[in-house]
Amino acid sequence: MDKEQIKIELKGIFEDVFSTPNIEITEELNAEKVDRWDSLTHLTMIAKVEEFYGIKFKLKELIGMKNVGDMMDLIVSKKGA
Amino acid sequence: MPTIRKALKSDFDFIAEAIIESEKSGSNIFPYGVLFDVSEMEFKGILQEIFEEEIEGQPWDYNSWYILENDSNEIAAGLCTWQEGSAGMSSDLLKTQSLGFVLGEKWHNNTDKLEVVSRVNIPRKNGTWQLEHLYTLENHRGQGYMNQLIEFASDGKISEIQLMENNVPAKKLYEKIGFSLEIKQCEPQIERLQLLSGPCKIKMIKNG
Repeated sequence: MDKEQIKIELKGIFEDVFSTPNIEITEELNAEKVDRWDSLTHLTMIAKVEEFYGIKFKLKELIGMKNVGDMMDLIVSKKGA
Repeated sequence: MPTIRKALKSDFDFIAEAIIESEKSGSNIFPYGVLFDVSEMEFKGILQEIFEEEIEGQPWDYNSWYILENDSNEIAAGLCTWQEGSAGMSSDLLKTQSLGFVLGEKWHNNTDKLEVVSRVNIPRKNGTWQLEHLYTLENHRGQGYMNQLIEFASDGKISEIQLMENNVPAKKLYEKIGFSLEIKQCEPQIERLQLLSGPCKIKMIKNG
């Protein structure tokens, strides 16, 4: 899977879930950098990402996911590159 | 002399009781029960699943807990403490992810109630030491055990405690030990919907 394509797809999901326009998706992006990204919206975002890509994260994977880069790596590996 | 030690897996029953009772904050309202329609027994099972994952940097992990035993080696009191942000993610996010993962549909079906409760969320400062789920068994109260535990856990550190404002006995105890009010966050709807024991949450801080 193309990471640039994933960034475009995540941008749509993030802007919708966090009700924030023009979010720039970078690998370093995390909850500290988006105002409305809290523990509640985080879980909604995870559910939307899982639904969009047809994947399921394990708890250990969720806990280890420190930023968007980690999430993109997991999406790529779960979709079988 | 009472002794203070790190928690063991065999302390789970006490720890689960401490979490459930401290969440009630002196009332009959069990927030997780109201939010997710689970009994206290079901919630205990959920906690056990989360504790087994050994997720550090948040309150639902054995490594975060201290237990006080009395002279007869009976468990009398306990609390959990961790350094905020030490696991590279906020403790709130770690705990919520664990809870949401274990609850599955029950979580996603109740996001409207969760949104109301989240309005009294108070951010925890990175690097500060957090104290939570402070609990003394009823038949061991009035002997200064919690005092000793808090002094032990917060000695020389910048420490924070979050609690419901209506938990007056706890607030008085923390003030006596040197904690002072820093932030108060209220949401009137919480009381109307009976989601928590009161509408206001407070954060108290002790500077080392």
